[in-house]
Amino acid sequence: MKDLIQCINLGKSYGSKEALCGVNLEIGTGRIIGLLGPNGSGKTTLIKLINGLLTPTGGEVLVDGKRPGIDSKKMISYLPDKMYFADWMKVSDLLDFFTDFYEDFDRTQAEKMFDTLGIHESSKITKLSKGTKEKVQLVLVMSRKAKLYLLDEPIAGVDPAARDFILDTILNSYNEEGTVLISTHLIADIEKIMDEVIFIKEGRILKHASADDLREESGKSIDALFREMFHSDVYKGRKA
Amino acid sequence: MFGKLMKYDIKALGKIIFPLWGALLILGFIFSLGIRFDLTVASSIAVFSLIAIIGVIAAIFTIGIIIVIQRFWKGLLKQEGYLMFTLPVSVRSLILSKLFSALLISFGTVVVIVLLGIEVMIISPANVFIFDYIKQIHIEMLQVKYAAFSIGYAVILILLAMIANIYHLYAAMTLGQLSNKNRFLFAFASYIILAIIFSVVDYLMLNIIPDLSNLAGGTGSSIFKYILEIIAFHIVTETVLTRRLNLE
Amino acid sequence: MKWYIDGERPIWIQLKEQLTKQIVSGNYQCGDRLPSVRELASEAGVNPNTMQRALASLDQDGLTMTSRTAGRSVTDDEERIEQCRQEVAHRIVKQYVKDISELGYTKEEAIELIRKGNER
Repeated sequence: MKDLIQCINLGKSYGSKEALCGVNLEIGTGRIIGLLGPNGSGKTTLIKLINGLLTPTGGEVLVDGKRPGIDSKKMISYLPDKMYFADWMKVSDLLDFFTDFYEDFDRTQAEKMFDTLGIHESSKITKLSKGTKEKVQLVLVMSRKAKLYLLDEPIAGVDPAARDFILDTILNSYNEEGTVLISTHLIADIEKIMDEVIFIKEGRILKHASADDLREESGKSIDALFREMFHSDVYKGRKA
Repeated sequence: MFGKLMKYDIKALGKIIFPLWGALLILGFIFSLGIRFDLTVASSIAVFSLIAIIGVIAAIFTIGIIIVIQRFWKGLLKQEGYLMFTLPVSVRSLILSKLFSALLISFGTVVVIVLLGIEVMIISPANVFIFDYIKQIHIEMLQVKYAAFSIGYAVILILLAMIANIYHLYAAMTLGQLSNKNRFLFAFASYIILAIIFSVVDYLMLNIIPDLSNLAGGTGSSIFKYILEIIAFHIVTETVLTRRLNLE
Repeated sequence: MKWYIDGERPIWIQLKEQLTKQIVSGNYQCGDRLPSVRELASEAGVNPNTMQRALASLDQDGLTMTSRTAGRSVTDDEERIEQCRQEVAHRIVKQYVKDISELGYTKEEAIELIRKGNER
């Protein structure tokens, strides 16, 4: 079967700084993959290269066999680590917007979820709290029946209740033929929902394997493995 | 898809500009009434109202420029860029929708100003005077040989100048976003540098093709310059946004 | 049902153990239809692929069976379930014996402890 994402010797540097280097990756369809690495390891860069917000400085990335472009954007549902709303919009404007631009957007599902969350469609986005805004964005992104979901740090800095909501939403609404790529440095939280993991460090892929296989091999949780792998980094430079 | 992009751009612009249009028409109404019912000081109020209305129009144009900048800067190069540049549309559509909606709003402003003029003429007793004046201009223009042609030509020239100026801003902002330190300063510097480059190009062009300035009543070089600017600025904008997008 | 999952061991194995327990304890009866993979996965908060793997393994063990029309149901082979129940019981006993002997009890004392523990 053809891979959904293929990275061939992919690299990206900003000036002399290498953010990503010689990445070779094949990602298939129908799975939830954790893209795990500490801050600044290249997670966001990799995601932005896949969705076409960045252009590689070396190698190439193919989505469903093609370079990022209009076709790949049609099938990628992307949750950035930022708020991307226009300040004049209401929740209903966003629903219109997604309906207009994405054929795979399931408006009924999004409306139902807003209803459950008690978010009114007539509310102005700027009037919502930060946590609610994040939920709105996640609901919109997950209400697409996309082939590929790219979720950049969806659970960073949220409280446990919101985190559970986010994980439930991801698990319950993603398109089963689709692949979900979740970048995070909070491994324990997504331990149960990922079936593959990619460890990334300093712009290089250290490991790409099945989560259960790794647990079986090591007798440890992915979280524990991650801590081991990056332990030295965490304490580097902290010793007095 | 292009139409949909336009729809949202117009919506966003409208939230700011529609109230201003309304304000202009209301102001015109008030001033006209002022003239009508205060005949003894009619002339002084006429002068005052004229100045005030010119002031508001100037304000609309200034705000217009700010809006053109803000819609491009905030709408594409800041966080909203994460939404816009991951839509299944081409970068060209994104740029053109911003441009066309800006032009459409400018056109709308011209229409509102014309409406304002009509409003003032109808309500204020000064109408006779103004109508006479317009008639006079009309007669004078008819006497000019290519009057109709000149008007059409002027419209095209103004339109080209507007597009070139908007693109000048777009290109400068696009270059500005390349900086990781101070995007705004970088954009400002780019604007000035682009302006210098094009005045040099203009100067050289006039020296190489001196006949150009004699075309179409001495504005041939301007038309040529604007078209050249539009093409160059578009290429810069589209290429950089496609290959070197650098969202914060 | 309640699920208890930790990250230390392969998740599909933990899911399989807990599903097996449900079946041999009679919570899911002979011939009962099981909820869909997606429902079970969502309930347990795990990836559907992982749940699928656990269920496929139950199929292989003969505890459940999948038919194209009716979905997945518990086997109607009562003997197989009973056999499985004993296997699970045996595993628990073995673990108990291991733990208790680590505390220095003999087998007889261990049996006595169970009796007393029950009376208390």
